[in-house]
Amino acid sequence: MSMLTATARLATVGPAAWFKGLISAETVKLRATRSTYAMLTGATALAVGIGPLVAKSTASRWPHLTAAERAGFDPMATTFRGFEIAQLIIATLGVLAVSSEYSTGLIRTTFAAAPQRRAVLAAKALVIGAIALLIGTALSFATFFPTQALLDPTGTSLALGHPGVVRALLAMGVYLTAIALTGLGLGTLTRSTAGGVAGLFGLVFLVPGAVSALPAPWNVRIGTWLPGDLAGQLTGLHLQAGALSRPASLIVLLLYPIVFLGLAAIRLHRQDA
Amino acid sequence: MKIEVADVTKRYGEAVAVSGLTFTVEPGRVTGFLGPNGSGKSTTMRMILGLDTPDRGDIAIGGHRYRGLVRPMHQVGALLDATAVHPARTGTAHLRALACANGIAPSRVDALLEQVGLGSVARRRVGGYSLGMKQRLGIAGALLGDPSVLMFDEPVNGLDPEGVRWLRDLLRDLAAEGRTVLVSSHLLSEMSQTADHLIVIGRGRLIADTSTQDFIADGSAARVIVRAPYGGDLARVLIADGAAVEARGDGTLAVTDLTAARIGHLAHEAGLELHELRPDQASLEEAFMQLTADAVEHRALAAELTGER
Ligand SMILES: Nc1ncnc2c1ncn2[C@@H]1O[C@H](COP(=O)(O)OP(=O)(O)O)[C@@H](O)[C@H]1O
Ligand SMILES: [Mg+2]
Repeated sequence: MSMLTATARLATVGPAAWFKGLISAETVKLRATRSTYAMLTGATALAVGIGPLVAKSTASRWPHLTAAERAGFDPMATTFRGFEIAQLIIATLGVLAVSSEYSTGLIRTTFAAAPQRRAVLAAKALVIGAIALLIGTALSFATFFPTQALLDPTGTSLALGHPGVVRALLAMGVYLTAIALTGLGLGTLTRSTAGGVAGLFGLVFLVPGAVSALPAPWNVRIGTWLPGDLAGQLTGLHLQAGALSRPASLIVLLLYPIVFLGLAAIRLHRQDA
Repeated sequence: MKIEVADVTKRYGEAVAVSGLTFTVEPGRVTGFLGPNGSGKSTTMRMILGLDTPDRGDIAIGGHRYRGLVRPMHQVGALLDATAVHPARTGTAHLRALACANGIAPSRVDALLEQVGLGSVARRRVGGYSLGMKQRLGIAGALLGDPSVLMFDEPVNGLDPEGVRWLRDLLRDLAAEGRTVLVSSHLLSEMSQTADHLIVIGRGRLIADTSTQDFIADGSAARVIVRAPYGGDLARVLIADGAAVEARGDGTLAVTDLTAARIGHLAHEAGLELHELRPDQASLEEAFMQLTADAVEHRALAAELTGER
């Protein structure tokens, strides 16, 4: 008997159905990879764990704090203390979505199966973006409640209805999405997990350090345009001096994935796979 | 559908991987893509699949450029590198991702895994597969879309003898169904048993585009092994015809400078019985290496003289 029994041949396929196929393919890959679950579990543990821990210790130290220390305390920032590391894990998921295909050589199979490389990147971005937005927003809310509950004794705890709280929680989901997509762009540009993660690390941790060493006013001017600072601006309840307006900071934040994915799309299209 | 490679050149930096290569792969037969390691076979196949872009020249499959194909697995199935899999994913998941991207039903994935003999390990992580199993998985991937063009890069690597036989039968069946089948190898012995037609390259240049039979018959530098009850008489006849004959310990004669056909003819004319008449595989391989090396040197020299780079 022949190996090749008849299969449903799609002579013509609409663009929507075709792109949906690419999205399914990326979803299958992500779901079939154990490290996806491990990383999401790790990110969840860090995000949801650290905020409440810090809240608990703050509450126990509260009676010994000075008035100035109490006035400077930020209950919203405490919620997000675990997200500094969790963001790197979520962003690494974005890097890996493409870098693991380069390290295994699978990328050639992927592009032989779908030669429209930019559409493949778009499908990856959609899947990674959706997961980051969903998980990021869920983690944001899931961390807020226990953190604030533990801050109750300090009298600084925030209710969900407090002005700006919901906006801040949603903004963290958006920030994590932007950083995950930036990771996808960096992974595509460097074609390497180490390169992509190093790029992220630099962008989130090293560049801010270097910029803060610049002479004033450049340290603040440039600093406010960096992703970490933008996260603070978007999730803070009050605008700091020198900060961008909220719409502006959102736009600048979104420029990161747009620019890196855009460059990645150009490189993918033009260069050998 | 044909694969048409027209005057293709590919450089990586200074190194020229493929140079002015032109050939057509026809449907209905197994075409062997033969050349020593580093001669540009994989590069050519990557260019056919639109993964690498030629610096010069054009490649068409059924008249279309690969990168213009939508859901190409229905037209072209390929296995470039069986080890290019994500070790943490199962065989099923690996194929399912490809199937999704090409609108192929999941049931087709299960059926193919069964057919290539991976049914029992389909739900295991690919990282635990042997190279032979990965080859089978890759071959299943190539067949997923029921394509009319198939391309395999050194698919024999890692297969056990039973797997090699299975693959040979599969390739022949696919060609017999009217499909275009291109299979690369660096071993002539391997191709001589599978391919109907050969495209031979050395250092990225075309050396021969001919039927396997003719290619082997032309390998006149190759030895022919003859077993005959009256070996001494036969040797005299062959030497008279210009052959060099060597008596081997096992009672056979090793004949050079005569084709097997000529030896058979002379024996028949002299009324001498033959018990065995076959080209010596090892020497055939040597002759092939010699041929590709010679061609390369000649062209390098010619290029130097004409100032071409
Ligand atoms: N991506 C690449 N970068 C640089 N050189 C390459 C690349 N791919 C192939 N080559 C070079 O091109 C030549 C042909 O290689 P290849 O196509 O792999 O040959 P084959 O498959 O016949 O063994 C070799 O000299 C190889 O080193
Ligand atoms: Mg090769």
